[in-house]
Amino acid sequence: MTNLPALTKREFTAYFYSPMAYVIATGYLIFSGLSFYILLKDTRDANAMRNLLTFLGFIHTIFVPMVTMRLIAEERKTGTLEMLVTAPVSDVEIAVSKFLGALGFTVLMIAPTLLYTWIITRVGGRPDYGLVWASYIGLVCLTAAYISIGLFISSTTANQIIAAILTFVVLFTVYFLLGFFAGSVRGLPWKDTINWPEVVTYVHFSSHLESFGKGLVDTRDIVYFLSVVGLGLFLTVKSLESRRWR
Amino acid sequence: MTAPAPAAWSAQRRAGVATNVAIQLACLLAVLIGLNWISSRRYARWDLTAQAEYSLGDKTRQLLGRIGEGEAKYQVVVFYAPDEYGAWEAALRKTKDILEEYRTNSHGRIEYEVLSLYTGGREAVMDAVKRHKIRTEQFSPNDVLFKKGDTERIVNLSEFFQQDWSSAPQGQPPKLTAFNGEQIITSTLQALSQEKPIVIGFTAGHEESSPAKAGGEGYSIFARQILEKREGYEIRQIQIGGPEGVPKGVDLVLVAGPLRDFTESDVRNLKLYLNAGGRALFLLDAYPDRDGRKLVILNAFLAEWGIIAGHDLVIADADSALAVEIPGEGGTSLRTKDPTMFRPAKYENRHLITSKFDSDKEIHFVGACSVLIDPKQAPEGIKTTVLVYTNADTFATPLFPQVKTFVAGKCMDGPFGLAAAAEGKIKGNAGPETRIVVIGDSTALCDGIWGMKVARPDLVLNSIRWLANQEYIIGVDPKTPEDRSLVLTDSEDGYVFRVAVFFLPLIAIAFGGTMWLTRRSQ
Repeated sequence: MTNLPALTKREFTAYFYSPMAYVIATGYLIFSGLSFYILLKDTRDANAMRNLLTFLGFIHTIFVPMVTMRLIAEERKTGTLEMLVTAPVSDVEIAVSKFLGALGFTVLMIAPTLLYTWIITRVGGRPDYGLVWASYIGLVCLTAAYISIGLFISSTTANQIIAAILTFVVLFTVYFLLGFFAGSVRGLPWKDTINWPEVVTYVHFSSHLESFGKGLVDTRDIVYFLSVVGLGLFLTVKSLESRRWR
Repeated sequence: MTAPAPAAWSAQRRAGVATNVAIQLACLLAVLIGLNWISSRRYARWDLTAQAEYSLGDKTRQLLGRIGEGEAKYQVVVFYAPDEYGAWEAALRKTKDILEEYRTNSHGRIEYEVLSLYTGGREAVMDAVKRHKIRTEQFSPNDVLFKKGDTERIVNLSEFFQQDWSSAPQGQPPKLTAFNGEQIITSTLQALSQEKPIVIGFTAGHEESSPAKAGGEGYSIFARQILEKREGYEIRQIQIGGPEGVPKGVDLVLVAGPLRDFTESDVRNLKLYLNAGGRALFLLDAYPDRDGRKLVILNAFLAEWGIIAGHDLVIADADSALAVEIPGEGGTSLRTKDPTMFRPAKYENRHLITSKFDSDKEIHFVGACSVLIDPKQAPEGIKTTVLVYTNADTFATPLFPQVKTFVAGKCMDGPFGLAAAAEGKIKGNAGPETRIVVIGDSTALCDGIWGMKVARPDLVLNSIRWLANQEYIIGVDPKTPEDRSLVLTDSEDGYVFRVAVFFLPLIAIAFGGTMWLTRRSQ
């Protein structure tokens, strides 16, 4: 893992040379700004960040795929992946550096939204800062999970658009759609031993974001998101390795 | 010389590697599922909110720490019935959050589930009814069932919170002004956990409000639904004038609004009981006797303990008086302020009973009499404290019911006491300390007032808990959500829009443009 810092730096700085990154960041800030404005007007609550977290979770299902789509798919398409894998770096280092680079860029993209709290204080509101911090911890955990999924999908195809669409479909399902299915899975096999609605609710990303939005940091949610990150990275590494034997 | 090309992978070898990867994946999934399973059972939560909204108080944690491994599990089932205004939603959310804390802190000894009666599906509700052997006829919407083995308690969600409808915008749910859930849940769990219930003896024989009588001046709602069903006390009606005195097994004596004076033998027996470390709660009124007689003997007895109950009626000023609906002709009603129904102005925070009350606390007095203290009259070793005060604009008149206006020289000016406590050990008492509470009002908890939905039992309940040595329940703080509402003016609205939707994205564009120009110039 000695090459990890250098590789991560390369991945992170690469974003700043791409005009696409600024387009994504600008689009993200416009969408999140609009959500914040509408929520503040609608809820009339200085703790609008509580509800904004749910919105940002949804907005990230659109913007994170745009960040992750090129991670490996582009390198595969342009052939630079072969150069990278012949270099003396392991597949694990490649996967983790790309993950950390994307996470660093996304966190930087989210950072300006912290100024919403400052805007609230400027117009006389008193936000609960503990709640704000918990919300952002949750948002970063969620984003890390999203990126690991996006990274894996990007490693399975050479087409960026397909990678983005597939990632969006998966994220949208896990973040949003699963909630609707929780009640309708009672009839699945082994229903006497496995509480399927509970399992589906547990896998549902939104359910793990709920506590953060209230100002609570819960180890169960952190363990869950880290598990998703671990699984995503493992699958990415195996996907990279598979080019040797497929 | 070129390197030899790697030999092509045979189908068999590829299948072998794929199997290997599948096994690795299965192992990883097993580890992750195991990790999540363990973390769902052993977890920690940090409450970062400014008011520690989701944290349980020390007193509750102490109670949960006492719940043993060998005990039956505690089950809590909320039968939630949503309403069209969403008025119950915020309270339900808070209840779920706090129940989650109970589950966490009891290491799973307390389990809960929330069933939505109208939207949750009939199957789920019927399943819960079957599992918990619930008799459906005993339930009302928004009831919360607490169960341990075969013992159960029922509390309604409406007791968990206070709302302010007056400031709610049209069509919007009201604001939650106080959340009392922790205190109620803790006291109900405590009631379930105790092996032998605490016995409250309601005195009879002096035309007191009876726990057996329903409606009007009866005490059936407070005694049966609150004290017995919810708090887990055992209620008995007792005679104290006989040779036996206060019956054995009675943990505290409750005198609820007597209309006839006590006899000499009553007070003699009561004195013997209290001298030996007994506990008594007196709820008195401004109209003690229908024949115009006063509670001379009882009041003289209380004075011996340093508590002076007045033969007067408390008249409140317009600010403290409650607005009530008076039925008129043809089904109409008139909303007017009744100066004999009012909210006190101040509570003594140095006494445990009222330590958690602030001046906004919703407690109502109805047809009350003054209650003062005279420490000089109290026996040695007994300390007296006034618990509740009126404001300066309130007065007490002894000329009622004929005159209800202030008469100089005859009436007592506010502020003065409405409730008082005496505690300590008198000389020669080797047992527990004696505790007495006198509240200048019994009417506020009678069935008629519950019917008007203005009954607030907190003061009486805390007095009973203090008398019954259940101090840890009083120590649970009610939570008052901080008002963080924000109404934007037009200019502020424009400012928020400009900064959030234009200015911040512009930063990203400017940064990107700068980077592009820098690279171009290199």
